[in-house]
Amino acid sequence: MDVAALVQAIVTGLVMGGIYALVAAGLTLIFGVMRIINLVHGEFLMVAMYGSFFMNSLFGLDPYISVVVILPLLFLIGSGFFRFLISPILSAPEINQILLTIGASIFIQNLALLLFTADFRTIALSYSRIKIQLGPGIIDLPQLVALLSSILLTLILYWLLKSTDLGRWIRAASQNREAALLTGIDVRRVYLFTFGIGTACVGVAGSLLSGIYYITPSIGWLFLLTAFVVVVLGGMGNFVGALLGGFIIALTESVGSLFMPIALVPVLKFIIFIILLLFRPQGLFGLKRL
Amino acid sequence: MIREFNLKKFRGIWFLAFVLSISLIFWNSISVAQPKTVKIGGLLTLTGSLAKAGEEIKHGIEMAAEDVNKAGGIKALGGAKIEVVFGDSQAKPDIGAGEAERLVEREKVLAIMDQYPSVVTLAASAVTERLKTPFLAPISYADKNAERGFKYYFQQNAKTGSKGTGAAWYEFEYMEYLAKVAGKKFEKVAIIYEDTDYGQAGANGLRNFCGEKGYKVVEDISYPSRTPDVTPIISKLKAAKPDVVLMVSYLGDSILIMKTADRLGFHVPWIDNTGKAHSSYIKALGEIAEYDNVLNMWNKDLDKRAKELNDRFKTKYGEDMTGHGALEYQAIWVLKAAFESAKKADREALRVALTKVEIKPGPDMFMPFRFIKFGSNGVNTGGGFILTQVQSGDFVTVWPEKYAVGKVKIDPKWWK
Repeated sequence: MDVAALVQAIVTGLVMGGIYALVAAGLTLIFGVMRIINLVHGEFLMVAMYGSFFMNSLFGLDPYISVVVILPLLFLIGSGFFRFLISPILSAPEINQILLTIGASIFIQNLALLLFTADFRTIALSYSRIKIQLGPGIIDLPQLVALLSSILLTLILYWLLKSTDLGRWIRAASQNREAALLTGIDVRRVYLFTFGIGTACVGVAGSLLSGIYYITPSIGWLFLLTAFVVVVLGGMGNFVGALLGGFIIALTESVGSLFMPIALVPVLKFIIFIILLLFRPQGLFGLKRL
Repeated sequence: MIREFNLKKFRGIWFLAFVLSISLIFWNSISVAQPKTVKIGGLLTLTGSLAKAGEEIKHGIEMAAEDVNKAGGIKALGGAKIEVVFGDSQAKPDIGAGEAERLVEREKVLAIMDQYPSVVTLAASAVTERLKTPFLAPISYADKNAERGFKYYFQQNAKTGSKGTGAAWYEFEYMEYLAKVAGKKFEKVAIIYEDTDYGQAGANGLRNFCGEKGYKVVEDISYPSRTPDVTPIISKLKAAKPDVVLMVSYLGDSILIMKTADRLGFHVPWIDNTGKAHSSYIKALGEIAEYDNVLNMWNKDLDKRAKELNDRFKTKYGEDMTGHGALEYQAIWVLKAAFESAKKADREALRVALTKVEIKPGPDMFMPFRFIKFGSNGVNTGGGFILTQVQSGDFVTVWPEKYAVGKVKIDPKWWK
């Protein structure tokens, strides 16, 4: 077995893990706090990618710079989405919530198809072909930035939740809604912020990914399914769990594909998923929520 | 304070409204006798992963219908115009089958023409066979499609694995030509392909041809076309050190594959099997696409007529016509010729006419084909492919020599 191929697989696995963690971070926050299965998350990723693309093609802005615009924009979109569409159905049965987010996902995807057509867009940066050699493994600069950013984002979110007032309110609301209300926390407002922050996270993910993948209306779903597995693996609401979960899943896929036909590789992650749900549904980090 | 909604009081009006709304459902089906149009169904991938391709092809079909109608329509039917009704398969076989059913049963089309992927062609044409409606596949060429003994299925391209006529054969032949031009002996070949019918049939053909001529296939990799990361398979390819890679892929996965190959510093000639034949491929990859070898059915630089066709297409729709679009354009003219000989706007008559139709190079032939004539299994064996290489950001026809507009260029980075 080729050592060079193994090193490359590990290196790429780490990068992909970082990418999955970026998408999963927002999802785990929303899921962990509000118990909402947010299937429109993938479309927000797509929206952020298109945002970066247009910032680049219309104003010549680098995606690593335009993220400063994308982040608040996605926060507003997420908050708005929550305020008008999710908030009214918070106490509805879960299946209805899922239907709503699926419906929204279909709507947004097709709206994007209508507005932007299905043309594959890419952002070509002058430095996107710079390669970094890690032993016999090669990654390029945008991938490295995505990996480092995912670690940074995880740390920022962790700090946010542990050390700020907002973070404490979010944790309180997620632990016990009634008790939080009783202590005077405006739970609905907290939820609004959480959804906004979660969407802003995937906005960052979109900005970083726009330099790596092609952009098309259907790109959201490519990552969403894996992001859900990562969220469950890491424990819902646990960011460090999501980061580690991302690495685990991605490394499994990446090293696994050296030993089996690549078509079978997704089976690995779903086997992990099923085993988790059967034996340890609280995820790797158990009930250590947020 | 709840106001009671008094249904009883306005009974009469409600009943009238009910009857009117029910009648609206049938409005569309009330066919005021319109003998002046013939309806054709166009089953394309208008949404989903292949939406981009579907859009380009829709334009090709629309332009063809316009051209036929402007030239007087179908003269044998009193100048009847061709009207195309579109259905969306979303690149999914089950949805494609459902749409085929809708086009035949509710829209009452006389025939259906489709796009790809081959899995959708397979499913949809099974429906039309059952509903006794002619099905013309202008693009699909996975072997399985024509091996079912169907009477209503017609395919414009040869089966991909057919020696001498199929896409896989042309891909293989070009590989040998490239070796000659480069002055290098190809010994080790790698084959990479997407894992549905299209990829598998193509890879089968390639494997057979390579085996016959004694090439060593050092890697043979199939992959699902919606994989987010292909680094592991490209690493494997690179490690096997092939002289050339033969691929059978679709557009999206091609983009990811070539980007990854460039990132990993893997530089050998790649020969593609029509998946990359879209201008959006070049747009997406920029410099990376340079020197890439893409099998195609048609190119705008082929001859004056092709250029004229493309200029009109570009003016109307803002981008170049693709080989796939040209095939669909041609298919409308095939249907027109069939209607002319059928002399009736009737599915059975059309089917019989299609079994007899023969188009040779001339005013009705837009493709670099020897002829269009459907054999007993519905397959046209007179088709052919060309090889276009990406040079200076554009597709240039370089092979076969009788159609070549430019020369094959050798990438200085190959084999380093």
